[in-house]
Amino acid sequence: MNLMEVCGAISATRKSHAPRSVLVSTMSAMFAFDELGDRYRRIDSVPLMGGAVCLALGISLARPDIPVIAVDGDASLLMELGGMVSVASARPAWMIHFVINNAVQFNGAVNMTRPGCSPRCEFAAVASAAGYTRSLTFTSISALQAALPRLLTEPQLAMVELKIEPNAQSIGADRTQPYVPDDQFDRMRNAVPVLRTALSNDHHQSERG
Amino acid sequence: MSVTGWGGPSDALGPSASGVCLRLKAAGVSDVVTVPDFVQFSVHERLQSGADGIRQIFTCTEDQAITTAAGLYLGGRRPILMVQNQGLHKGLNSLRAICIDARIPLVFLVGQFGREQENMGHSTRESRRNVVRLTEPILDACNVPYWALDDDDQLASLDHALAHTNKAGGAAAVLVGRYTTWA
Repeated sequence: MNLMEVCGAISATRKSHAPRSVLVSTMSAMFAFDELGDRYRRIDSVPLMGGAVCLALGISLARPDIPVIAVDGDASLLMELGGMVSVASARPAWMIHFVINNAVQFNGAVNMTRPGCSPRCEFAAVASAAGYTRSLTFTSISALQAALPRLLTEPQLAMVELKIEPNAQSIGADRTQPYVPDDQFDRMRNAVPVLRTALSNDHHQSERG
Repeated sequence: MSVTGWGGPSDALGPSASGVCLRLKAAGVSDVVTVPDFVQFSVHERLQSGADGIRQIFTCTEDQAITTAAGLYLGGRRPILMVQNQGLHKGLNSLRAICIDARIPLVFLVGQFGREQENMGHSTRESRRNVVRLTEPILDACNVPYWALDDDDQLASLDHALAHTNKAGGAAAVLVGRYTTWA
């Protein structure tokens, strides 16, 4: 399976089964969700590799009544691997932590080898050892699609490792590197008031009954 | 090895745990996200007791503390951070992304770990220890305002820092220069 397939499945299931969920994304998953047009109740950890998991943790601790979905990158998670211990220790009520495991760094750009490929770091196993109550690994899109509705509708703390193929390399001797656009540095700031207001409105709606 | 074996007991009384926690409670602080700080042991202990109804959340690194606090803010809570000077130094990239780029308002209570007896009563910029001496210049370089909290007479520093972040967004720091007391 590939990045667009897994992000497409997560996005579609959010819409159909968990419309109040919050999405925290980072790295190449962030661009996939852009392409899918899924910016609803979403914030991106950028430019901040490693930040997604605890950003999601904080939201989940503040809002245990809704699912918080983190779509992490493998190289990002490796930067803050201890974050899984922080998450498990804090016991968020409803947090689904996906990790996109494409086994490369700079996916789709130059696809450099990342640490943890040989010997292989099994993220789901690390999550279990850290204290996550549930850990799953998927290698097929159909199995993931079948599991997603329950994952996003039942309160739990789960790690979901998605083993995917990396995108094709797009930068090299015959194709120069692009400049990084302003959006990459502005998008988190722009998302803060939008997401905070959306979550605040949840409370006001539930208070009105 | 006992703590006193490291260099003799400190005779410089710092801010009280009750003073700090009651001030935070009065300001509406809901959560303290922390990697524990040697300078603020008594504040950690009081928070852990639950006496003031402020939740204490432990993380493995200061980067994680900063992002966790940011998430709490997004969810409508009013968190602050409690870290050590070297933890502040370590978490600078997260501070840059969360507080400077994204303008999320967060106050950092920073213990000046390692401040030597001879430096008490002087500017920490005159400390002979880099971890102490460099903290204010690092905050200056990041345009993060800071206030001193060396004793209970300076508890208003907490209000100043919270007011600043509420108004301007971003980070502010309160530098705890002496061991907090169990009072």
